[in-house]
Amino acid sequence: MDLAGDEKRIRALFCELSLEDESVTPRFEELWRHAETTKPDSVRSLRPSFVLLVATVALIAIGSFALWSRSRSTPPAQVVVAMANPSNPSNPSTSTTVQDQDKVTQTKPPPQHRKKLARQKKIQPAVQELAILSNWQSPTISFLQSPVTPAFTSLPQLNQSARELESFLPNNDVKEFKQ
Amino acid sequence: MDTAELKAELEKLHDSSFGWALSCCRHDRSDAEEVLQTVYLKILQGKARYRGEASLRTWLFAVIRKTAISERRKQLLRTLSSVVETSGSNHGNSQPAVEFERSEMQRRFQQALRCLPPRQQETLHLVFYQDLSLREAADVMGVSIGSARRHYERGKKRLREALDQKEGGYGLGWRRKENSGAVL
Repeated sequence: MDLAGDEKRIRALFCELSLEDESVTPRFEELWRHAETTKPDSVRSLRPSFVLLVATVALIAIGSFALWSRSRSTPPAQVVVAMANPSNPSNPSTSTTVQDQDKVTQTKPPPQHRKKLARQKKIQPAVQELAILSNWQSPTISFLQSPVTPAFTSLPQLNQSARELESFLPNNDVKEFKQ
Repeated sequence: MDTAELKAELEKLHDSSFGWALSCCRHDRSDAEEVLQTVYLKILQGKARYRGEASLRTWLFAVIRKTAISERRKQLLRTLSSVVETSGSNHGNSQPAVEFERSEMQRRFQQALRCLPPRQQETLHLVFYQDLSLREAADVMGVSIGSARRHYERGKKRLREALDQKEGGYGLGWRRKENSGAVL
């Protein structure tokens, strides 16, 4: 390394600095022994405040999870009834359900259930319309019916035919027939 | 390299390691001791492991530098979180007796050195104090050799200017001469 001018002077100053530093340098053995006897950082870093913070966060997480799971596992009975009878608007149970829903709304259920009920209310008119459409009958359906329709649709009554035949038989034959 | 062998090597480098630690800790002796002790602890715990990719000295200096930076961060956080004001806690004045004994020239030099940006200080220290090449200094600082060279040149220039300003009143005769020398 070629040094000239400023560099020589800077080096001289640094040399002087190093000599000065050497005078305050602690002994290697001392530092090494301290390092050997010092606790690991991982243990030192576990301060009470940190542990408290972690415990608080864990408690909040567990509590919120418990609330969430509880609210999921127990849906209101009214919602279940409403879901079971969606296609029968004329059924009094549906109106009861609506009344019940009103009651549920009055008792202010949790936000998740409120959402479900609101959704249920929204689909209620559609369900009623669907029920009306499914029960609709054409006005000309009577023209398609005839007096012989029951004969085509019903099976012959065999017992009755046997009794009618019996009347044509003589008495002796009737006894033999019965035996 | 086993622990006993490593310990022997570290002992050889102890003086220069402490000098580098002092430089990284703005010449605060207690901080430098703490940093060096932490470095030894890291080595003992296996957190800092020498894999032979660079020279032991370069690796050790890089570990010291990183440790000093992290310690400084911790210290800063502690200072911010603490309510107590640490007024008048000048790093350079921690040991007034030692400070007093310093020669006037050396004192001014250290003041001028402290005025430089950290990277330039580090480069000059590694090159002039630790007698490392620019490549080794770049490895220690984790920068490219081009960047290290830039820090070196700028640091030299700024140090000269700072010393010129300080010496102007004393007439100590710092030569104002452009330096064409290059460090490889």
